[in-house]
Amino acid sequence: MRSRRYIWWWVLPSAILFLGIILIPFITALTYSFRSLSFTTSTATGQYIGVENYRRLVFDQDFYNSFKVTFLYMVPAIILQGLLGLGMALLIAGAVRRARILIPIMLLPTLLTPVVIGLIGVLTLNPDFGVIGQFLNRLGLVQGAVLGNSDTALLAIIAVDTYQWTPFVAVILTAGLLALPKEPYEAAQVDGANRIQTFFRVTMPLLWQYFVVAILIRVIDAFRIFDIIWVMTRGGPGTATEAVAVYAYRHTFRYWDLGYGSALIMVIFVFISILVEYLYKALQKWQTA
Amino acid sequence: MKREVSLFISLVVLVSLVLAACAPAATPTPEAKPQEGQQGGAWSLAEAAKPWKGETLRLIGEALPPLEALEELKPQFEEITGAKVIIEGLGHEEAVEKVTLDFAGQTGVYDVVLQPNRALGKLVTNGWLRPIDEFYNNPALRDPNFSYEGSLLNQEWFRETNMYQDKVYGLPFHFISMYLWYRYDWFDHPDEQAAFKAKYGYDLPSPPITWEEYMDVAEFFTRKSGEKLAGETLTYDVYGHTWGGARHVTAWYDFLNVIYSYGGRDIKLPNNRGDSYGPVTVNSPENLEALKLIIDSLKYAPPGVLSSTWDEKQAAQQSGLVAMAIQWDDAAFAVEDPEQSKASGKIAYSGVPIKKEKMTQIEGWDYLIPKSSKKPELAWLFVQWAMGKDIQIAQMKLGGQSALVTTYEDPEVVAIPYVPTSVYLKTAGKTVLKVRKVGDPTGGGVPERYLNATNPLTGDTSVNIVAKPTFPEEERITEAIILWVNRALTGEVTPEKALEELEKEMKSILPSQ
Repeated sequence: MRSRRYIWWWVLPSAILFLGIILIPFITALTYSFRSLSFTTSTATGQYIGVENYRRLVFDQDFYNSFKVTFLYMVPAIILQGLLGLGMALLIAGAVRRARILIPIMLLPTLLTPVVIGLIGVLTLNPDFGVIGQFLNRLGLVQGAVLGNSDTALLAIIAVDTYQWTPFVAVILTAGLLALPKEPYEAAQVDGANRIQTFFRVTMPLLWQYFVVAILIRVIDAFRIFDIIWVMTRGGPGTATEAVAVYAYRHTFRYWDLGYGSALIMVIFVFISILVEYLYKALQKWQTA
Repeated sequence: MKREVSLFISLVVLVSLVLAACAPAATPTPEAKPQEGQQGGAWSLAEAAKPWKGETLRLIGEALPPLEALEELKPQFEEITGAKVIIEGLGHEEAVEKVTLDFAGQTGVYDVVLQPNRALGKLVTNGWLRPIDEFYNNPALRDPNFSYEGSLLNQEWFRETNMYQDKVYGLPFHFISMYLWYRYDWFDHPDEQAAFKAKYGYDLPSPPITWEEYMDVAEFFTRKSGEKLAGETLTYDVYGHTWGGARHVTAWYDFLNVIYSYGGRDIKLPNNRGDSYGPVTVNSPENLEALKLIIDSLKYAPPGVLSSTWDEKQAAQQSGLVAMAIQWDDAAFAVEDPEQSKASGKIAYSGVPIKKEKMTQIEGWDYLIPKSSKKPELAWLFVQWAMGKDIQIAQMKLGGQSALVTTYEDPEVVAIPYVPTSVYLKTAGKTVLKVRKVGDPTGGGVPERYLNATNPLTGDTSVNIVAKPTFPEEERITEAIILWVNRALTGEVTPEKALEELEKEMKSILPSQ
């Protein structure tokens, strides 16, 4: 009985932190989303306007565009990161065991902040000064600035994001590979399975849980992508790379429209929650199948 | 409601500060006020600042040479007052954003903030600033030798950059303007002059004073690696000019230069006052023509132009990649620095080319004292010290752009190549410190061609100074212009569509007229 009472003391710091950092700002943002509040509109002083911000959002074409951009970036980026991460993990955990010493070096891009990664992207892709930018121009693959072209800017964002996050996926999968039991492999050997069969019938099913974790983390993260885009293109050219987080940021911290910005944040939150839940179930189902 | 916002933002800022652990704790502020007794004896900064000895004053601004200059000079203030000064330099937009968050949160982190004048409406209408009269009119705090009235380069420029609704909220950290920067060593080269005349049938305009000349010159100086330029064989491609094509505030400033010159306006401000609303006129034939010219000119710019901000423009200037650029005068110091720039000592400075107006746009950053500062008197003393003649001159030599006439009495300041043109533009063409003729061995001086160019609007040689909005909605208007201009530059929409949509958006942002 006595020890039970103590449990609350152990939980208290986390509860305070949760309240202070997550719950209170969340509830505040939820409240703002029903108000007209902006530092750049003299008439928007915080009056209650019901669901007006949400109604406005429903008719906001730029908002839909930002969702489209987010998916156009997220889907290929995560597929690429998954495949490349798996390749790197197999390399590290399997054939080239000595390559494990490369793990810290490999993790460097992930350890750097997205702002630094974005700046590296800007500098290297610049066609006037950047190595990759000049190279792409000379090969004729790109005309002018990669980041100034609506067709290539998003591809550049995907490439830079993949550069940063592939090692992260690789590390999770490497940990998974190293933790796999040996017995199923011995059984597969006895049954005469070749390498490819072993990989698809043994390794992948066993590794799937780790894959699910890596993908879910990346989906949540990718949906919130902001820093890399802001540093590299600020959502441009036009709105070609304006993902939802960039769009919400623009309304909240550029237009200082806290009411509408909060409504955007609420919708993004609900969407991510549903997406992750759905994705988790789908991935589990796939594994069972 | 705004109080709740303040609490919320305070919480967020507090958590960020704790987590980042990036700043030392603010020092406690004393209750003491300056002693009235000071009024009896001779005023001194040391005496006036005595109550704040050992205190820390925190200032934030844009990380550019003028602020770096202030960083170098601040030990003088620290030595006299015994107060410590911390100067925080951030990127232009980051400095604006951080200050807004600080003010909204009433955190009181900053005692002096440097902000662009266009943010004044937002800062004043939200009640975040202290008018400076309370300090300026206090004999205990005001140096009897200090007076900004009557010592400014241009009173109208001051009104637009430091006043809002007829109240003074700041003192000028600097007045800045944009000018046409050009490589006089290329323009003045006899081979180039001969080649230009042979190709275009008239003398190489040094510098171009109309947009037609600008386009010809831009085309002329666009060369491939291996071709000759000013008697030397190029080892890299060179371009006629550069532009801010990215979705960035640079695109807005660059766009305004051309539309103003074409006689157009985005908003017709009554009496050239940024704190007054006027009709939206962005979708005009003049602006359309101007936007089309910008798009057309991009073919003579480096390949990276559509992702260029003022940083890339400056880098292009410094690396000798371009013949011309329309650039801010507070960037000139870095372009003239031989350690950073291949173009150092090879540049001359003119005004923006003329179509229907010979003009320059008003801009400036201000010293402002927030209501949330716990040491506003010390903040004032610092600002007053920084506005002193000696400090202004020293700052000017390190890259500043002083707003005071007295700064330009110093011969060393006048000898800085970009200074005469800066002063000429900021005094609306009234002050000519030095004239530059074609063939002069340095780039210093207002180019004779530009000096003598007629302003079609007035019929004389004066320069119009054009105000931009400073009312609270300004930031949203600016963002809208940036977006639609960028869409037009990248070809996502036609110039006609861009201006049409932009006008609709601007009208929806502004209060109905």
